[in-house]
Amino acid sequence: MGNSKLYKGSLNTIILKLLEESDKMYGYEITQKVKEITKGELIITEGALYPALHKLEAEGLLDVEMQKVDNRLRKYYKLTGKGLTETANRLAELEEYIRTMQTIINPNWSIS
Amino acid sequence: MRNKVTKVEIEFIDTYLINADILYEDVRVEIVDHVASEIEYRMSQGDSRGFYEIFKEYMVEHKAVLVKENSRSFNWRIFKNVTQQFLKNLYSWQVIVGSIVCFWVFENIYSFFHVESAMGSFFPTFLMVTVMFIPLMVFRKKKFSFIGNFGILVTVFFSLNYYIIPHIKEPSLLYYIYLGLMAIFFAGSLKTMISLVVFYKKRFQVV
Repeated sequence: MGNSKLYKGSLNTIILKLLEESDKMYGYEITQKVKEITKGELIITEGALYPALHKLEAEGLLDVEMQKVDNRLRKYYKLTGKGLTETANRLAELEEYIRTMQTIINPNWSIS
Repeated sequence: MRNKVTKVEIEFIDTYLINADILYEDVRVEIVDHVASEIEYRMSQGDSRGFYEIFKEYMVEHKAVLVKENSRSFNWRIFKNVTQQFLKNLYSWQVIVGSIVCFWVFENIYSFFHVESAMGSFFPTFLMVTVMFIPLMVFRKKKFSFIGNFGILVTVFFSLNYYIIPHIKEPSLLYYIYLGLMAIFFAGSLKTMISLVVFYKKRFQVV
């Protein structure tokens, strides 16, 4: 994965958040979406993305669906019921983490 | 100007990845789509060099990362996963009942020929082939990561039999332990293999 090791720990949460916002997504679409939202600041490589997706799938947080698109098979990922709950938990954890870091780095800053 | 990858070009990407030792279908399907999507994106952005030029450039940049998907650590993770699943299956009622039935059947089979005879020595291989024949029958030449890695576990276990067989005297405690272990492993591996085949069959169902 891209630009900083700091992002690495948040990759799973980023994926879950994106899937929460759309019905289903495929691997390449996720990389492009992240690139677009962060204006190229964060690049997710294939080597980081797919192992993360497979791990989330093994944990039962993601479900998959195969579709034939333009002469090839495409694997779509979507959140399971457990995944939806876990996304909320992980986002809350991440917000808490950002808030804590901010109080250390810039005590006058507020997230909400 | 076209911005879609053709069927022949998809087959080219697939063959290239097989030659790069990405042999598992479940891994390759996703990489083929990723590579094709990136090439189509570049074409749609006005890259007019043609498929093969863009593909070559993409592979120079990304081949190392893509091949990592099929690395030793990936296979080790799958192997651990599938072994855990196998161990969990050993506690299921199907495996417990199946093991008792297999024990009875194996003992009856060994009453016709001795463990250390040529037929007796071949028996573990016959059991291994039976387990490995299931995915072969369903998927033909297609290989899947979980099945491939489970195949390693099955092969190692049944190959170990050849080191044990020369030390077994019938009837003895070791003989019954050997029969019991073989019955449990066979019933467990049969259930695991069937559930893996069902899992992939369902997974690769195109909607």
